[in-house]
Parts: sequence; structure tokens; C-alpha cells
Amino acid sequence: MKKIYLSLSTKMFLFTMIPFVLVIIIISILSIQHRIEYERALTSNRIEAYVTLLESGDLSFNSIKQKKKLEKLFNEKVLSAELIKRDRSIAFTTGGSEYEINKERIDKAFQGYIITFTKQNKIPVLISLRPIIVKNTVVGILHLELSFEKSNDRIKQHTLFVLFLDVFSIILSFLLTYFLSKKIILNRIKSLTDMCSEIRRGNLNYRLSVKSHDELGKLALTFNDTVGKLAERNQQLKEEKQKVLDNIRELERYREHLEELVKERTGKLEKSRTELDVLNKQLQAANKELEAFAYSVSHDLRAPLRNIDGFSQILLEDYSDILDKQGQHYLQRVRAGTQNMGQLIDDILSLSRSGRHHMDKKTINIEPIVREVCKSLENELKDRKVDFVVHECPPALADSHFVKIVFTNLLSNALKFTRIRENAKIEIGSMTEDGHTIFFTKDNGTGFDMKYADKLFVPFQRLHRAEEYEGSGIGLAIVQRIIHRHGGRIWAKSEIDVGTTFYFTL
Amino acid sequence: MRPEDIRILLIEDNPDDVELTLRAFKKHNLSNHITVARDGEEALDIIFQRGKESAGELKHDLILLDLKLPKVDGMEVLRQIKENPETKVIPVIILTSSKEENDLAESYRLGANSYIRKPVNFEKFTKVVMQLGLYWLLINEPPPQKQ
Repeated sequence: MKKIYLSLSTKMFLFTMIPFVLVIIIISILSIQHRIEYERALTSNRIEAYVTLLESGDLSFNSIKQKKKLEKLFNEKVLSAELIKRDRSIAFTTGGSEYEINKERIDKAFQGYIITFTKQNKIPVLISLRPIIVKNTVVGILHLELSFEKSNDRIKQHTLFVLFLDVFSIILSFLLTYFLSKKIILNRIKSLTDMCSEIRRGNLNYRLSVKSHDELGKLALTFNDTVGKLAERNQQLKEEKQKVLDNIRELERYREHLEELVKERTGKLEKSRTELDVLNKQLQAANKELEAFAYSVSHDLRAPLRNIDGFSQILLEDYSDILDKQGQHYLQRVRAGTQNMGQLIDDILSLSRSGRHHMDKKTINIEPIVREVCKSLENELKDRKVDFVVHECPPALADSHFVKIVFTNLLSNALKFTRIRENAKIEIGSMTEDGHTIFFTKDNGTGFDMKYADKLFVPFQRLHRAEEYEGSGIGLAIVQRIIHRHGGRIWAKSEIDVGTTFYFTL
Repeated sequence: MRPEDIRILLIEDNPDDVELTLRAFKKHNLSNHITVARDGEEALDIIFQRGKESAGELKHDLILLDLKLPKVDGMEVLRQIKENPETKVIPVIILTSSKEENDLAESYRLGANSYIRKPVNFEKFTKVVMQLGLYWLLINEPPPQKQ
């Protein structure tokens, strides 16, 4: 079955109009019926009043004949009026009766009042058979035939009036309903719909005008409020968006600034690099100069020494007969001095070389190097007995050539200062502290006073007298320089007559 | 060849060193034929007999060369000697005060036969020179000379 969709206005209209019209129709019918009843009752009352007058004797039965008087009395046209006696004969009559009153009806009328409405030539007619009672005796029956035309006209008029009222009220209610549904409800609903469309289009400033405080008014208020909130929210969102955009713009500015900064820094860096290049070149030049200096020291300073020595020797060889012992001794001292100076020059050069030469760092095993150094030093020992103890050492990242120089210097020092011991003991080993490997060389030699510890690594600084222990005081300076070049650290602990321990990292 | 017949070219600018060296040679009775060149240029003139009509046969059996020389330095002299097929057969002993590794390496690269660092102790020096000279001249057989 096809479902019929009715618009809201139609529904409202139908729901209002159908009961209304039904009620109007029912009321109208009742009203017309009531009018008919009223008209009949009015006429029968008049008949009753007339009969009462007849029965009391205030009016003569003869008045029945006076048709015009009766018509005036009943306010209807009298078609016929007659008095029928007990013997069924007619005592008085106006004549002109249209209906044949049968005997049976008359008999019945003697028992009680009979009133009938009928129609004759489309005109309603009242037929009344009223017994007339005088002194408790029915003396006769008043037979009346009244045309009900006047009453009927009034009923018709009334009906017309009612119909007119019906039509009027229906039209009025129709208009009212229409106005209500259309103007009061539907238009406002439509305005809500319009608002929705506006909002959908993005116009959040649209508001409904609220004229009443009914449900729709409340709805409109709620709607306005909701839209207001929405607008507020939208505004917040817009503001937040603006903030985000501002942030982005600021970031953009920062980025530009950063770029500028980077450019500037790069420029500065470039400049620094150029400056560094210049410095580097200067440094290289200085290095070259230093090398040239070292070269000339090596070459030029040694030459005169050689000559001093050479000519001293010639003097000793060729002129010994004219030089006494003392003179020869002095010449020997001159020669020793020159050789000492030659050694000093060599030491300075090796110190300078330890700082200058290229380093080749690799992971190397320390132990074999230590053993090699020990062996070569042992070969130089004559009648001395030295106990070399080499502990296990981990590999290290270092230049093997330089490491060898370090151990050679440290161990030859250790040998030198354990000369006084019958049982010299030299230990080489390593330990770990804070994840760093520390190597050490420990001897039981003569030791030194720790208050001079800071002078230990100063070139040509000696902690012992030259007569006691030979040496130029350059060995530990070389060792320190090598350790520093490896990024390491060297220090010593010593106690006089107990021994010295050197610690270093690589 | 007897030691006293050896012809030696000593290239050395320091007169003291020259005197001491000559004395050492004389003392060991090594040679009566020592030519001395005082700088690199003079040495080259002598070796290649420049300024003379024609190049004769080689006049020296051994060259002692100091590296640090005025005008033309020792390295250059060595280079020229060893580049020339005529002269490159002459043993050249480098005599120097320097102990620079660069000099040592460069000398051997250019074809020096020995490299001696002059010690301060003159006695040692003389001994070393004698030993080397004798080695190169007497023990080592020189290449056959062109007739």
C-alpha cells in the first residue's frame, strides 16, 4: 500500500478541522430538532389552553365554529375543527375536513389524547384528537386539523440560520487554523530551517527574532544560543588558527633569522678557516725554520767542538814533551767538555725530534716492546744483577717507535738509579682505573724527594748531582713530550731509598 | 793499488776540518794524493775537469763529500756525480755533522756509497774514515776502467 505523506500544515489542519466540523454538524442537527420539538410543543400547549377554557365553561363549544378566532388563537391556519360527541355525531364543525377519521381512532381518542403529524401536499399538518372532560366525564372530542406551515417556516428559517452559522464558523476556524499553522508555527519552523541553511552556508551571525515565549520561542532561543556557542567556538577556532598561523610566521622568521645566522657563522667560519690557513702556513714556515735551526745546530755547533777536540788531541800527541802532567790533564778536561757539549746538542735535537716527528698510531702490543727494551738494556749490564719483571699488559693505541723510546728512557733511568742495590728489581705492568689503562715502571732504586716532583720533567733539570748519576736530564722531558703527543699523562711517586714508580697513560 | 796511491777528493769548506782530516790521512799513511775543494762549484769543476781542453780520465778514486757547502750544496754535487755515467762509478762517502734522517735517506737515494756522521771525538772520526776508505778502495773491487 502506498503511504501518503502529508505535510505538517495539512496534518494540523485535518486534525483541527475534522472534529470541529463534526461537532458543528451534531450541534446543528440537535438545534434543528430542538426547534421542531419546540414548535410542536408550542402549538400543543395552545390547543391545551383552548381545551381547558372549553372544559371550564369559560368558552362556549360554539367557538369551535369560529375558524378565524381559532387561527388567531393557534397562530396557524386551521384546516378544520369539530366537536365529536359521545355518540360519534358531530356537534360543531368548521367543515372542510380533509381526513376521514375512522371509528377506531375516535374510540381510541376517548381513551386518551392523540396527536399526529402528517404531510398533505408537501405541507406538514397536525391532527389532534383531544378528549374534552367536564366533571370527570368525556363529553366529546375536539378534532383539529392545523396546517403547520408557519411553524415549518420558522423551522426552516432557523435551519438556514444554523447553516449560515455553521458555514461561517467553519470558514472562520479554517482561517484561524491556517493562520495558526502557517503564520505562528510553520513560518517559524521555516525560519529555523532558513537559519540552518544560513549556518550551513557559514553565516554564524544569523539570529532568529524571538517574539513569543512558547515552545517554539524557547526552541528559537536554544537555537540562537547553540548557534551563538557555535559562533563563539568558531571564533575561538579562528583565533587559534590565527595563533597557529602567527606561530608559523614567527617560526618562518626564526628560520630566516637562523639562515642568516648560519650564513653569518659560515662566513665567520670561512674567515676563521682562512685565518687558520694563514696561521697554519705560518706555523709550517715556523716549523721549517725550526728544522733549519735544528739542522744548523746539529751541523754548525758540532763542527767547532770537533775542531777543539781535534786540535787538543794534536797538542796532546805532538806537544806532550813540552806540556807537563797538569797541562795534559787540562787538555783532557777540554776534550771531555767538548764531548759533553756534543752529547747535550744531540739530546736537544732528539727532544726537538720527539715533538716534531710524524706519529703513526696503531693498536700495538706493549709487552713485546717492553721485553725487547729489557733485553737490549740487559746486554749493556756488566756484572750487575737486575731482576726484570714484566707483567701482562693490554694492547694500546700508540706509535710503537715512540713507545719504545719511552720505555728505553724509563727503564734506563730505573737501571741507573738501582745501581746501589745488590738485588735490583724493576717491574713493568699496567692497571685499570675509571676504564683507562695506566702503565707503570717500578724500581727499588734510590728514589727522590717528592717536593721536587714538579721539576722531574723539565728539560736539563736534574734531581741528583752529576758526580752521582750521569745524564743530561733530557730523558724524562722526551718521555713526557711523547706521552703528551699521545694525549696521555705521566706522573711519578717516589720515596727516598725505597724506589720510584712512573705511571702513564696513552 | 797501494793505499798511498789512492787519489782522494775531499770536498769540505771548513779549513779546520780540512787540516784535521789531512793530518789524519797523513798519520795513517793513507794517501799522498789529496785534492781539496772548498765549495760545491769548485768540486764540480774538479770532478768534471771544466775549463780544460778535454775531459781526461778520472782523476779520483774516492770522494769525501760534506753536505753543507757554499755555492752548490753537497746534495747537488752528489746528484751530478751519480747522474754522470763517467763519474758515477767513483765511491762517494758523505761526511756530515748532521744526523737528519731526511739527509740520510736522500743521500742513499741519490746513490751515496756511505754516510758518516762526524763525531765530536776526532779520533773516532779519523778511524771511521780510514776504515771506510780502505773498504771502498782496497777491499771492494772497483768497476773496470775504460781503456
